[in-house]
Amino acid sequence: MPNRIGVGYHGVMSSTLAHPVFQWSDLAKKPTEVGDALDADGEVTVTRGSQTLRISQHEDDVVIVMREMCGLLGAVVATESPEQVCVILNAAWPWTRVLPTNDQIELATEVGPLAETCESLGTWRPLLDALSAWRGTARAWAVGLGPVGPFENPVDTRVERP
Amino acid sequence: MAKRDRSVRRPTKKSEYTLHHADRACEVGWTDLAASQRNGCADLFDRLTADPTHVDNPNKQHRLKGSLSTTNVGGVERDQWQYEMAKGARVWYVVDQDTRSVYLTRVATAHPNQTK
Repeated sequence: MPNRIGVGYHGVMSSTLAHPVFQWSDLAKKPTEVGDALDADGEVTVTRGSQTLRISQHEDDVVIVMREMCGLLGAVVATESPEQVCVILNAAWPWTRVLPTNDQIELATEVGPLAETCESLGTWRPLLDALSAWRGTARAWAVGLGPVGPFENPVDTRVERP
Repeated sequence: MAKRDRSVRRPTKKSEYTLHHADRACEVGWTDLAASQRNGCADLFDRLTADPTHVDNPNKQHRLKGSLSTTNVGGVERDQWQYEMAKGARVWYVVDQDTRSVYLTRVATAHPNQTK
């Protein structure tokens, strides 16, 4: 559940309940929840450190933020060192820290053009699916799983249905 | 004298994929996983035999990315997929569309570091 402004955020209490507050990473982690909150409240706030971004339903800013963030990553891949790309990527999406450096660069390189493709298609599903796949890959790295194979001569044993 | 196993083995339909273990470790892992998640393994088996690349839930089933994205099976580099199950278990597999075969390349029952 998101926080609401004035309740819980920075521990400050307020007498007024306003719109839901999400973390920057929530845009990638739970876009459906952000979208539902936007539908329900008409406005949400996204925070990243001390910075805040207010998103209103009318401006469809979730899409704009996703596009701008992916565009930013695409730009820094082209202009910055791999280390700097990783710093920016890790700040936006902390779960990327468990990925090997080369994989972080690959992710950052992939999302920019994919965001442009999604925008021209009018659907963000390909980008969300790609991020889901990257997050699943990160979960595998996080529990200590790495590359497997090669399996030059796979055993000819059928998998039995339990 | 040992009893003969008289259980009936389910035949594979022509349209279905056949599932194989890529190595002995996968075979052992599948046996262990089936012991703890029998229904989950049966569901996964049905899903992979029917259509291993059809995704209903991208949070559970997806292509692996980056340096885990492919592995070599039988001399051919193939896209590698992950299916995440309950309790941190996960199954990795590759698909050979020509022979309609699925090879399990990793069956991890839980957090591997927990046993260290």
